[in-house]
Amino acid sequence: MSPHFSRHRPADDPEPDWTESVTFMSCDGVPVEAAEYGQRAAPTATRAVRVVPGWLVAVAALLAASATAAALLWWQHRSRVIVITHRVLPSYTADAAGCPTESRCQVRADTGQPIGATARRLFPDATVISSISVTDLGTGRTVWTTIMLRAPSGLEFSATAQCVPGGGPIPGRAAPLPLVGPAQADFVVPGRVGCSVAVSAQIPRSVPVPLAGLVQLAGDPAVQLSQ
Amino acid sequence: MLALLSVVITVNAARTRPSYRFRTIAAPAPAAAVPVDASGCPVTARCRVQQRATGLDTAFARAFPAGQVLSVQATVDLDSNQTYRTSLLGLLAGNATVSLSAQCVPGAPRSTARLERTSTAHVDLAGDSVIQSHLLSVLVPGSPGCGVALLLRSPAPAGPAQDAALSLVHDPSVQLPPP
Repeated sequence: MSPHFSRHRPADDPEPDWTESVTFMSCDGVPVEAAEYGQRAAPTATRAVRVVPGWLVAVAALLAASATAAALLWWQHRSRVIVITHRVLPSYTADAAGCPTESRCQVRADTGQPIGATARRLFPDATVISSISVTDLGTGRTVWTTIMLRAPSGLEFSATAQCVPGGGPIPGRAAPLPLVGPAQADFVVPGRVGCSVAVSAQIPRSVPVPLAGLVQLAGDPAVQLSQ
Repeated sequence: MLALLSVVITVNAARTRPSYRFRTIAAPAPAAAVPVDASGCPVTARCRVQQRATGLDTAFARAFPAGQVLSVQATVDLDSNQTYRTSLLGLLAGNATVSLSAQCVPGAPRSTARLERTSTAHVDLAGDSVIQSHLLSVLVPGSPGCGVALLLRSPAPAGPAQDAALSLVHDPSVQLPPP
């Protein structure tokens, strides 16, 4: 005798979605949980089946799809590509004539710079053999100037002042000197950022090293150029 | 099923550390030039100014056989022996002078060629303008960061001297090798 089931609907059920209730019966008419188990179940094993309307399924699917999309976006946001770029700012320097890069300059043979006046004051017996200055045509400022002198003792020295707008800080330099030549003096005295004065000298044999004059020439704030 | 999937993705996304993927972008930006002091020494180097010829005197003698070298100077790296700047002052016939400088600055851009002819003048007691000297200023770029500058100063317009000065400043042997 094959298993059979009976269908009945509660008449007083207020919910319209109740359509039916199914009770599985065994061959001998006893309600069971599942016939395939072949076991007797409690008589209260009654299962209610609800039919979900289509619009609710559509709304649920839409919500699920939205949640999935949001989750994917969140995932993508968490693992986004981060591009880091470093912009290297060029540090301005000067060309061989002493003109700062990206500037237009005029080169002149000029002895009217403070460095020339100071050199002639400190070494009054020296003769100027060369004097050059470079002027930035955009700002009208002197950006590079040099003077070369020769003393009757054979001492030969040069002083150069430079100012590169936008340049970096310049370290100082001083080489130890003997009291008497032969010797080569080499001083660099920094000024403002990008500015410095360099003094170098060739002291012949047996000539006293004019250390005080050279140091004073290099360290005089008046010979520094201004930006 | 979709809801479960979204929950799984969200939970995993929240738990996972962000994975940074770096991308190197090579842009044609100008290289940063090393600042140099007034002697032409880069601030990153240890230099010494020496009174020694660095080839400029030979080129000067070729261009001006009757000229006289008054002074030579070189800014030399004490560690690498690299010459960053060298200069020469020469005396020519007729009391004209030539100042020649060659320089190389590491990382500096290529210089722009320049040629200028100017003159300096003063006004005498009669109110006349008297030309004091004629100037020829030339800059010849070499390798990036390198170049040679020349200033010829002559009391009178010196045609042959100018030609020789132009050949001197364009002489490839006066350019310093790039660092």
